[in-house]
Amino acid sequence: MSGIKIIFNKEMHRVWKDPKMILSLFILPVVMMILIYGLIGMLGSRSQEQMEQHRSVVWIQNAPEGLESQLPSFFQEADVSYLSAGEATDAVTQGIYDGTIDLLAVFPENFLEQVNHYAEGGVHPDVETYYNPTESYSQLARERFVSAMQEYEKQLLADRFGGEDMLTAFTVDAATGGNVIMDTKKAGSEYLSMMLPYLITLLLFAGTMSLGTDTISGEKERGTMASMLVTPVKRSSIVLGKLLSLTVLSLISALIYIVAMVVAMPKAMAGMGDMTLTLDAGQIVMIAFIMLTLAFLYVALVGIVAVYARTVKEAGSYITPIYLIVIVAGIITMFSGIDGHSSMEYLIPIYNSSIALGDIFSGELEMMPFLLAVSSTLVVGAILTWGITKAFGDERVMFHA
Amino acid sequence: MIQIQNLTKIYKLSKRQQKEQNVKAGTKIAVNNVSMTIEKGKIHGILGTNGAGKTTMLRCMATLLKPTEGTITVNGADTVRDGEQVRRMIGFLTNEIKLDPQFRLRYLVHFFGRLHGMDEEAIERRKTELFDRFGITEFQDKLVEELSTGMKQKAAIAVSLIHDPEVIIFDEPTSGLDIITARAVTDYLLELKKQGKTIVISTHIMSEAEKLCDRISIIMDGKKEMEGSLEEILQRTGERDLEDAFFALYCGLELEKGENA
Repeated sequence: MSGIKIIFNKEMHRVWKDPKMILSLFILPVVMMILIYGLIGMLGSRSQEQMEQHRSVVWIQNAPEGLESQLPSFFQEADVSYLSAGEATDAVTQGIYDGTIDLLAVFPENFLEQVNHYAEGGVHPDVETYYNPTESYSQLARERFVSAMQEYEKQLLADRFGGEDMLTAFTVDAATGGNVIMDTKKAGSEYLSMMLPYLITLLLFAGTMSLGTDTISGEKERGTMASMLVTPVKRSSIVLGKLLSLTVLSLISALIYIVAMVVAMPKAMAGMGDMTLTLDAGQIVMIAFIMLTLAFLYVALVGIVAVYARTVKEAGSYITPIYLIVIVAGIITMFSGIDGHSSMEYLIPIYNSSIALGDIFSGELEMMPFLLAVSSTLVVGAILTWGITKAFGDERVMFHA
Repeated sequence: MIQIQNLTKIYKLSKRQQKEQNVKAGTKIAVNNVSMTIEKGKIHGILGTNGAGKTTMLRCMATLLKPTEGTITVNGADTVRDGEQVRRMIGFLTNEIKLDPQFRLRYLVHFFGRLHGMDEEAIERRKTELFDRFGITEFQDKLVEELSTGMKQKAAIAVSLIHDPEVIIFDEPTSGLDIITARAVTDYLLELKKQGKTIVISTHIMSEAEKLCDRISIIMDGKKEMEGSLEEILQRTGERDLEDAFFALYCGLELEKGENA
């Protein structure tokens, strides 16, 4: 059996035979993810439900006669109190400020008279509203009021012009609602397309981080690495066996997480918009290549840090800033790329994989940027692996000699 | 046979190490021009105080460290040039080398056997032999972290000898062991000597060296101060036992250092 295979098997054995490791690496993150997204979904639905059920607390000054019969839907959803003309509004505006009152609507005096006797070129009567945009209920009350008033205005205009049909000069898409012409690959969930590249780049790193430091720095610290170094197996075999196993474990961990997310998210976040995602075979192959090369790069990156660190703790402190870079690279890709990316961007490690993944999910990735991203990631990963192998042969690094 | 010629090992000290060791020099001579021959079928003991350079010498023999100057050959193979070949021939044990605590003993023995290129059948045969010899068969399915200190040391010896090496390099093999386990280890070393193995051990325990070693090298401050059989050392120092001989040598050197200072 080759040295690489023996070391690879040992590293896999370490994980698969340890229930705690399986729990922390594969099960716990998935359970946590489902719980978190489930909670977000539940809170979102509950908040929407509460908004729908909320009765707006509204004060109206100078309410025109018969207003309740003109705005029936609004009055059904609101508890309305009235102020007469000239009455002080200070207490009401303070209530809006405090969040105990949602809205104050002030009608001009003789509102109906001004509306009914409007002459061309005259001043339109203006209804003023007072609300608090930092309060959701206040914003909702204003939306309800403005919408109801627009309906009322439509009715008044219909009376003025002799019928509702007189208010319409032409329509747009009245029959069809618009005829859609699009690439179906781009039709997937916008939310998942935006989130997945970020989560994939992040999860692959998270999966590598703890295992990588333990497998290299941990073995150095515990003195178990030296026991392998006094066997006839080549140092490069030890390095490659370890990196290969870490890559595979990181991929498995990320894949489990992603599958769980794609399956569970639509259910967990039902009511939060379209959460389904459709990918064709080509897209899946591209994603697999990007994930594989990125996992390899991460493993090599963590490996080089871990091999130079004296302890797991020291390695952890060096890796934290790299983790932050990975997070930032992911976040940048969530909010960039509307106008596409330059070829140079596909050469920047980590960032290139993230934007390439984003392009795949939005069905926009072409072969050349894909190849650029994959090959540059592989080259950087290979250079780092060479560096780790050199470090394994360096007694100052391995034994602090 | 191990042949050491003019071995010198100089460590470069980082700023941190200089600070930790409270020294200003950027280097430290751990082993200074040491030569010796360790014969086949003999036990050679290396004696010295902490920091004398014993472990560095053994690490150089085991190919973990490269000599700054000089050469070491193990059965004719150079530790720097033919590292892989040397590692095939040696069984190395030191307190700083540990068995992975997360694994079961049975798995580790097979793992190291595979790394030495053995087939599963040969590993199983050798494992049974070693485990029976050390009385650890019933613990083979336990995790290393579940074993007592003595059991761990026996397990580490079994693992280091799984490939039946011709040359055995043990750094303080009985350190921290109870008297029963220590006796099991020393008895086994004598048995290996009878089998014609080349054995080199470092130790602090003078009685152990007296009992085990055919030849003894006393190392102080990286230099070999004396080498010979127990009788030769006692004769040269005029002392009754090895401990007194060691102290006489040590005090003489300290006195010399004081006079030179």
